[in-house]
Amino acid sequence: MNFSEFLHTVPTFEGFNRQELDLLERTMIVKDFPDGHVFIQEGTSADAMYLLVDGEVVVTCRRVEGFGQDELARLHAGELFGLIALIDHGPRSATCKANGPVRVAFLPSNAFELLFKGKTHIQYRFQQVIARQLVYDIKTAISLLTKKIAEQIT
Amino acid sequence: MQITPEAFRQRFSSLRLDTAGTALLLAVLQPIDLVAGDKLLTEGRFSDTLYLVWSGRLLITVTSRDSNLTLGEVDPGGWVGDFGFIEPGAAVEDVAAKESTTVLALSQNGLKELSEQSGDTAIALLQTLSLELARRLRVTHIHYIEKSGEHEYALRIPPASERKGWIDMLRKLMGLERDER
Repeated sequence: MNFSEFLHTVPTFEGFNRQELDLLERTMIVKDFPDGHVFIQEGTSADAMYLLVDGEVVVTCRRVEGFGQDELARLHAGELFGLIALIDHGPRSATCKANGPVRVAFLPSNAFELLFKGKTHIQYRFQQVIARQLVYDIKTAISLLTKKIAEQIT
Repeated sequence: MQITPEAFRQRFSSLRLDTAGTALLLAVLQPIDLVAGDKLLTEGRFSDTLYLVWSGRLLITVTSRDSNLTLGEVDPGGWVGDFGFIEPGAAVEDVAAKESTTVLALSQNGLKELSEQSGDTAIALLQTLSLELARRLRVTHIHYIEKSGEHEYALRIPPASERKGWIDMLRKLMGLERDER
C-alpha cells in the first residue's frame, strides 16, 4: 500500500476530504528507517511530528538516576507521536525508537505550526486529529493507573 | 439566566477566547441545572458533550475493583467531559453534582454549529483543550520518571505506600490537580 492509499484508509484521518488528504500527502515526508533508528531523543527540542505508517516504534523514558530505560508504550501503524513538545514547545518527554524496520511519515515543525495554529477547514480537522491522539494517550495512561490501583486494593 | 460574554470570559479565562468568539460560543451552549447527587457522566456510558462549570461543584469518582475512588472536585471555571467531546465514547469517570450546580453543555451539534459560524472560535477551543491535554501528559511523564526511578521496572506494582502517588497521577491526568513545574 502506498502512502496515499494509507492516508485514505487509516482511521486517524477519518473525516478529511480528498483535497485535504492530498495536501497532507504533499506536506509529509515518507521515509523507511532501519531497526534501532531513534526518531526522538528525550530532552531534545522538537523538530517534527511523526505518523507511523508501517512497523513498530517503542517509547521509553530515562530512569531518574540516569541508568536504563523504561518502556512506556509500543506504537503501531496509524499512530501519531512526538506531539507534546510540538504543542507546548518544551523538551521531548520520551525517546521513540524503531523496533525492526519501519516506515514513517513526518511533518516538519514549521508545517505543524501552520496546521496547528491556522484557521482553515483542514486546520480545524488537523486540530481534531491531534486532540484525539492526546485523548487516546491519556486514556491509555488512565487505564494503566486504575489497574495498578485496583491491584493494590486486593 | 443571562450570561454576558464579559462574565463568561472572566470565569473561563483559560479558554482564551475573544469577545466576539465568546458571544458565538454562548449562543450554542445549553445551561443545565443540577441538584446535589445528579449524575452528569457515568463511567462506561457513552459521552460526547463538554460541560463547563458555571456555578456549584462537581465530584469526580472512578471505580477501582468494586470500590469508588474519589479523585476530586471541579469548581466554577473548570470543565468535564473533554475526552468524550473530542473522541465520543465510554466515559472514564463518574461525574455528579456535589451541590446545586449549573453547567453549560457544548454538544457535538453545538460544536458543528460553532465551527460553521466561526471556524476561528472552534479551532481556538480545540487548541486550548489540546494544550491542556498535552500539559497533563507532560506532568505525568515527569512523575512517571520519578516513580520509575524508585523501582526496578516502571510498571511493577509499587508498594502500598505508593498508592497515593498513583492516585495523584490519575488526578493529574483527569485535570484535577495543577502542577506548576
